Amino acid sequence: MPTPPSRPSLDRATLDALLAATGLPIAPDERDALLPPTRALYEALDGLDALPLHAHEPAAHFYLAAE
Amino acid sequence: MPESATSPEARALALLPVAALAERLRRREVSPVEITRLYLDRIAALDPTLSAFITVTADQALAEAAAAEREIAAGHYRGPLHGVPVALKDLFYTAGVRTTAGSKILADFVPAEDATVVARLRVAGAISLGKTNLEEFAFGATSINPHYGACRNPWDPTRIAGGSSGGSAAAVAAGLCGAALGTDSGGSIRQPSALCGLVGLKPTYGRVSRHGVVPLSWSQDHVGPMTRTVRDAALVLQAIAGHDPRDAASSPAPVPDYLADLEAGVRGLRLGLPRDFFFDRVEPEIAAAVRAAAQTLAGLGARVEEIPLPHAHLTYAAGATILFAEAAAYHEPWLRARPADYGPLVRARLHVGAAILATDYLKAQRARAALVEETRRLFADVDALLTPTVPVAAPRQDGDRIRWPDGTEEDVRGATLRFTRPFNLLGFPAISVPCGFTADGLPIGLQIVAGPFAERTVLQVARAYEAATAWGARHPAVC
Repeated sequence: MPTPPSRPSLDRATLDALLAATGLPIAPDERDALLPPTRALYEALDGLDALPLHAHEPAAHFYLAAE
Repeated sequence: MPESATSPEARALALLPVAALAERLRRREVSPVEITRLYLDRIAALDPTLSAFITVTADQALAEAAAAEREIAAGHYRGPLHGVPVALKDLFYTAGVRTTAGSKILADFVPAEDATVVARLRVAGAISLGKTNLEEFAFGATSINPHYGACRNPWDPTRIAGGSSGGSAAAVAAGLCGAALGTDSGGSIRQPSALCGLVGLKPTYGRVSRHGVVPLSWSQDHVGPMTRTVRDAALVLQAIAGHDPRDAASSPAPVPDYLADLEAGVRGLRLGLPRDFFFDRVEPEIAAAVRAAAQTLAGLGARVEEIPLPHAHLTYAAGATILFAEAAAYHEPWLRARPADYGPLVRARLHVGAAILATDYLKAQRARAALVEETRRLFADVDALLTPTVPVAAPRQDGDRIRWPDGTEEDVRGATLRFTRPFNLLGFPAISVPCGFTADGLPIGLQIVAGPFAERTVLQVARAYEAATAWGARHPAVC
């Protein structure tokens, strides 16, 4: 399968929308600090497209299935 | 506190390997009550500096020791952990003894039953001295706990002991117990073991029960021993390994004899030294110590070869995504009801986890399946991998960033778990064993990794290296 294009970099408005959907009480000043690590994780996730993901189901108790 | 607790004779007894202590207990040259009192006195003397313990159960420990003493005297010797005082990370349920998980939220939580591993240690005759300090809910790598104090490294109390099992590491390194249990979801046994000069073993996922352990990341949580020698790690693993029907991920595979091949050496074994990832952004003296360890093993008859690991760098994204999302899922009710009772760092990490999409979590689990398959194939060509456990020596308590010569920066958690986290994602067994000291006198760890359920191989390689060197004979000056 072709490698998909990367997602747009996570911005503050999108993060606010995601956090609002969780319903968790998070102070505005705390949200400021959440943007860099969340964005970094989202960007790192794009790197996983280098793997043959189409050939794999999600791992679950994988050793027991494999032994 | 009796001055005798830190005398040279007391220190030598307190720092004996469990295997040697067990022999003296069996011969009744030392009594369980005597060794338990010694460790309790040393905790009283040294723990105000180290903050290794959250709860010390002195009365219970002495009662257990007296019972062990009676049993041994009556000829009912149970085996090499009988009468041996141990410490338990405060993440393990202990019946009747509070289990805080290093948190304010569980500050008054008193379980009604023991975790399976704690129950198994009791059956083996071990004596619990108490519960050790850790990162709040095990979600971090420094053991600078906002509720129970900053755990300190016995080699240099201005440095971190590592985490999240920092208290267990400090307690074993300082001779406050014979051995300890830790948990490892991203490196939390191996990283503090490396930073404190210990042996720390993360077994295969499913090999040791997680029942009765406060979870961090269900699919990456592991339980294992933290000890002063490789043989001690094998002894503790032997006692705690095995199927547990109360742990859904527990393997029914038979438990082998972990001591059987311990002295078999490494002649003819194929050891891989990764070409990629594991030697990037490493302090030069740590990289040199690990390469020297590989040479030592080659000198003992192993075939050491450089091998490619082209996708090792992808384990971070998959492992971190799974860990953050699973932790956020577990903590969601408390995050909603008691957010102010978390320390700010752990609360922020949990909020990051809450913002992970379900599709991304599943993408990470699919990547995990691909990486497991790829890495399993690697072990057709090698018996074990050799890597640094941690790319830096123990960071300072007041430092939160690592700056590399290439201009990049990492936070302490990310840097110090960079080489351990892949094997939580993969679930393969991995051990850290001391392999030298920096010019500042801080310990360096060698990580040895093998394929699923090949704990005997990691122990065998670690023991061969340990026997050829004398790093484990050094102990911190503070104790």
